[in-house]
Amino acid sequence: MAVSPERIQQQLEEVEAAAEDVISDRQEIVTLDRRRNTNREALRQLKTNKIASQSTGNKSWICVGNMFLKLPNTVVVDCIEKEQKQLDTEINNLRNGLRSKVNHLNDLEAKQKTVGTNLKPLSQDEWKAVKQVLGR
Amino acid sequence: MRRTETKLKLAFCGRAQWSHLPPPHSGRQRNQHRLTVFSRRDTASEPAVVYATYGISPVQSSDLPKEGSPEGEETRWTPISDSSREESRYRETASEPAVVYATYGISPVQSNDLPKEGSPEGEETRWTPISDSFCAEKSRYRDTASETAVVYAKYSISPVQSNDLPKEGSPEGEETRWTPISDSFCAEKSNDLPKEGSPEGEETRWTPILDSFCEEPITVRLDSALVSLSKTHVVLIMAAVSLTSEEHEVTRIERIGAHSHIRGLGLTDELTPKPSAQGMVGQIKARRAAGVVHNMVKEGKLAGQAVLIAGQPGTGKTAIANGLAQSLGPDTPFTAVSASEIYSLGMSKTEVLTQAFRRSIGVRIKEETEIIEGEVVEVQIDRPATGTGAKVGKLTLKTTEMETIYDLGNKLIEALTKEKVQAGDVITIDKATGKITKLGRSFTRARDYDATGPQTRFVQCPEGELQKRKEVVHTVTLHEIDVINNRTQGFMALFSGDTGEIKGEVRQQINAKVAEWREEGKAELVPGVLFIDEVHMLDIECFSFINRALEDDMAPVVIVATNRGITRIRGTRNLSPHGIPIDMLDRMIIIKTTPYQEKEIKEILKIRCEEEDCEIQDDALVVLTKIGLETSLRYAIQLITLANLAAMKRKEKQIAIVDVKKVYQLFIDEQRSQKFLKEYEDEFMFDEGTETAMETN
Repeated sequence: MAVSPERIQQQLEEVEAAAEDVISDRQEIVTLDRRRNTNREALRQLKTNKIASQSTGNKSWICVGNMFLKLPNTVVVDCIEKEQKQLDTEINNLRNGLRSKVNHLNDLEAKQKTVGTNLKPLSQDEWKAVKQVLGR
Repeated sequence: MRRTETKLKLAFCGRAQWSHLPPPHSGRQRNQHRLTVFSRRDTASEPAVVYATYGISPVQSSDLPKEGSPEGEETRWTPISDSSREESRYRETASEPAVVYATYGISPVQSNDLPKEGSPEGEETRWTPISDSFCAEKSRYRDTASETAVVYAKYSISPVQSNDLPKEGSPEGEETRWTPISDSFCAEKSNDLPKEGSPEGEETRWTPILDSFCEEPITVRLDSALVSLSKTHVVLIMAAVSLTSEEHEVTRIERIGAHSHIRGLGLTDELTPKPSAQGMVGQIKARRAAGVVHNMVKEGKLAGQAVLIAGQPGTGKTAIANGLAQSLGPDTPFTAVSASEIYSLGMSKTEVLTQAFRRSIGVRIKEETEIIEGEVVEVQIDRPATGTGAKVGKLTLKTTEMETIYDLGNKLIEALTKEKVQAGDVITIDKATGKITKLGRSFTRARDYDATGPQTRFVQCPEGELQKRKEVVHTVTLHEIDVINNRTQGFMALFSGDTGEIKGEVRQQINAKVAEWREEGKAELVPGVLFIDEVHMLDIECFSFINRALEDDMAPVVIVATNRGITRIRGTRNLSPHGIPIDMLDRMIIIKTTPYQEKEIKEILKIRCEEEDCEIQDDALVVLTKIGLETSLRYAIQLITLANLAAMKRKEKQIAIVDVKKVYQLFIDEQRSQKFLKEYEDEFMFDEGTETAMETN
């Protein structure tokens, strides 16, 4: 099979681009998850120390970008919770997109498609029922 | 240059070590020889170079790295180093090319093919690394990264086609020839093998791929014995791993049955059958047809169709069906029944058939859970001093990329104490149910003198984010769902007289549910294959039932096989081809199998000898082939183990002609048996003459 070098190069470029896409997505998920965890830790601290922090006047320092702000606790909690929700949706979106990108990559690399990735997942109780039926 | 010697040269960055290959095994001729090349883990810049030179005409000296000229080697095998280990996997692998050259032939390797000494950039441009760095999982990366080098070793009289060998005087040809090809292009395609007369073809072939991180020795399988013949064979391998031959894992003891040597259909990607591959020999047309059926089953286009494989006895019908089953893979449900199983007294015939049909249809569903997976750094649980009151605790989990602290509630604390989780364990916490699963202990916490239980497993620290989404895809057959839904609960089963038959309403309900899920996109049907052997044993009622069942929208592909000619349909007095009613035959695609030729019989016997672990001499094999031709293939196959026993009795390891002759005398085949019977029929009990004996040939 005679394939010209330009064609090979083009194919390689495609594969590289797709791979870069996938890897950057995954890195982003990791970063977002890190942020999510730090937010969660902060929330926990605020909630458990609410009693202890009565003395400090219900205000805490938060760091936004490169600024430190002292805000009342309720505002801070709200803020962090909103950010958590946003992070959750972002991570979910990234994960959903990742599926099709990995499939595309597998296509380019002539590997077999992972089966069943385009299925919607069963709901929680449906899965419980199936598990019971199958005895797994 | 060395002549007529079989030698291997292992060079690690200038240091050349000659080591001899082990002599070809005289015994078990698997036609493969192991060539083990070790590559060190940190050999980012030290590709292992293996040269094997055989033959009379030497390779040009400029081609091979000169002994004693270390830089010569260095300049040639320029690795693209992998600078930082912290980079992503992509970088790691991207920078280590492995180059495999295999050139054989009379004409020596031209100098311009091999990397020139002192032309470093030339090498850099040639050795494009391609790695399998794009895998989503690490394990896959590792697997495939090590499957990327291609080694061709051909030792034969016919030289490799000339366009494989670097042509003389075509400088750009070289640059264009050594095209890195990634692991994605199948290494077994014919276009991988160097073709004659197509210069660009080469570039596409020689993919540099290197897995320098392989901890185990990389094994290269060469197709035939590394015995010097009259040709020059130059094999240049740089830290290469090859998977050109078929490999299969034997992780459990498999019973050696009549068809256990079959691993698949042995087809190439274009569905042409290789003469002998994956255990199948010959039968080109039938295998090609089976390959087409295989592809259509995979695409789901043949659902509700019937295929008939017909031919004389001993022509490989069941073998083809087995090959098809293996090649479809574990994903596709494959049910093999023999037609006589229908006549069990426990269930009615239609029930057996319905169950067989529903066992061949799979449903694929997916389960998705969010889990937190990480290695435990520290677990801290505080009990309140007063004895009452809730425990509080903190759990520190980490992965390779991040680390965080979790506050523990009561439930989790109980689960952790129950599972006896300690620092260094790798655990999974299901977010929805709060269940904790221990995956093992982390390698980093393993010490030399740890006292561990027998079940302790060591796993790697998990990677990526802590909170992962786990998706598991399950494939269940409709029959499984039927059975469990049908089971009456508890002690009512004692009174209800469970016949094992599944009620029609249950099946309808399940069909409705599956259809509903299909519409919602939550499930998909996987039509499989139902193989009915000896189909002439089915009677007319079963055939009518199958006719109807094939029209169902959830129907598998039905493959039937028979070796009968024009016989009576069971349950009637009519004659019909193969014992199948004509209207059913009309719906079927028919694959014909033909009796084997002598060469094919010889090949099959060789494969069976390997499978049954017997060594046979060549002349004994020829005699056995003749016996197989005259009598039947099955008889010859059965003689193999018997002859092996006879040889063992003589305290020999190989089967010789005398063993074959001996067992031929001891165990008679069907024709001789008939003859014997005809002669002595008077002396047997209750003999009524041979006029009504069934002709099987």
